[in-house]
Amino acid sequence: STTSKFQLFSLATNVAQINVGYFNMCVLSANATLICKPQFTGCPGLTSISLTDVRSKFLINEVHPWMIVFSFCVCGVSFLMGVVSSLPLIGRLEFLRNIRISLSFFSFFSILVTALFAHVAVSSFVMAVGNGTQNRVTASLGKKAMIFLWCSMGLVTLTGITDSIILLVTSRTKKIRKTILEKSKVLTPSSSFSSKSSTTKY
Amino acid sequence: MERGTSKFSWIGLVARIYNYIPHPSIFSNAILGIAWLFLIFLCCSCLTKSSIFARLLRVKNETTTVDVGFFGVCDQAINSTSRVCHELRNWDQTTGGLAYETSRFAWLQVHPVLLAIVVVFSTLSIVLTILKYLAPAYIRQWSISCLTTSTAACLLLALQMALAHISANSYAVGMNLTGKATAKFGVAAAVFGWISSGFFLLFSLIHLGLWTIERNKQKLFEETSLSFSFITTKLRLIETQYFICKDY
Repeated sequence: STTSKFQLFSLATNVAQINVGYFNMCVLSANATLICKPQFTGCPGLTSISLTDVRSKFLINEVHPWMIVFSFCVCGVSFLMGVVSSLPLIGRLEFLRNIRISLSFFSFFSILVTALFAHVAVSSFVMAVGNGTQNRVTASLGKKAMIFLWCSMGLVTLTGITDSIILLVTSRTKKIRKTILEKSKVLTPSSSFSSKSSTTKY
Repeated sequence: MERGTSKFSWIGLVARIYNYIPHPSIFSNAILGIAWLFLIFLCCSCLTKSSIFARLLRVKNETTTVDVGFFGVCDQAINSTSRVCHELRNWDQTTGGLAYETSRFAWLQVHPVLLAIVVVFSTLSIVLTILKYLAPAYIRQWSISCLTTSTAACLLLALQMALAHISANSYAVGMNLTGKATAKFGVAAAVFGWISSGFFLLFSLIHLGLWTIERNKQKLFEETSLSFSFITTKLRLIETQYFICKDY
């Protein structure tokens, strides 16, 4: 029953309420009966909108549920790379860090596109269905799912920014060390020159 | 052997492509003009009767046909041949439910304010291009500003076209599924928008090539200055040694 609370949008009639998610639909009847299925062929209270068409024409073509699976995979791989990088000896490798930062940026971009698609498409669809003045169907946006999507994008953004800052600080530290080493090398000819001049004076 | 092992860089490739363009200044100005014209035509869609070709959405009812653009909406009854066009925010609620509803959708979901921001950036880019000819002493600053404004216009226009595409398609699907009306997405608006965005990108790339060549000239000048300063330092060293010998 928890899956019915995080819907993309919901369609409400006098008799029942249909919560539509990415891969699941839940029908809440008037007598408090909850039925969840991947796809409904018909609903007793809903006659003007076909749920099959809602899934095939709107969800698959406009919301693109494969994108959230893709984002999940990219974030999973990025997380695994982070776990691998935290191991004692493997974490020193340079290319692993570069791969992780590229994956972090890529996961940010994929979640951004996923959230934009979901929010814009569902908002427009809800506005098109309307508030039930003509065909007695009221559509409303699932705000919890949208909040979860944007919060996850914010967290991934925070992770990417943190990784970038750590990489910048580490590379800057390396440059400072190289500069100090070069200065210590450059000081040697000066001392030899001073010793040479003292020899000449004597 | 050292010449053959030079590193590949994208900016070097852009500069090399820039060298092959005949008359790059005239070419880039033409590209900017075309992008700006397409953008203005996109903004004026559905503001007059003759510009409904670049509409974003067409919604048909049993009684009316409504064409929605970015800033305008046109309404035509089925039994009449005349068409009434208005701006989005000026449409009265009492005259027609479908026209008001689609106008509200275009204002709240497509966000045409973003397109207005793109127009501001592109006009600023044109003003900076004109300033390159009026005040050529600061041509480097004008070129860098042109690069910045046209890149911003390209990105914002791409974002606007993505928003318009997703929201108009979803609205059309919603209208078709509920049976209120038959809605169809306007392909010409998408074509105009993406062409304009692509041309702004081309203009940005050409100015990136120009900027790269200017930076290469500046680097060459700095290297020459370093060479002369090295010779000057050597002369001072010789003079110091001669002074020491003379004193002894």
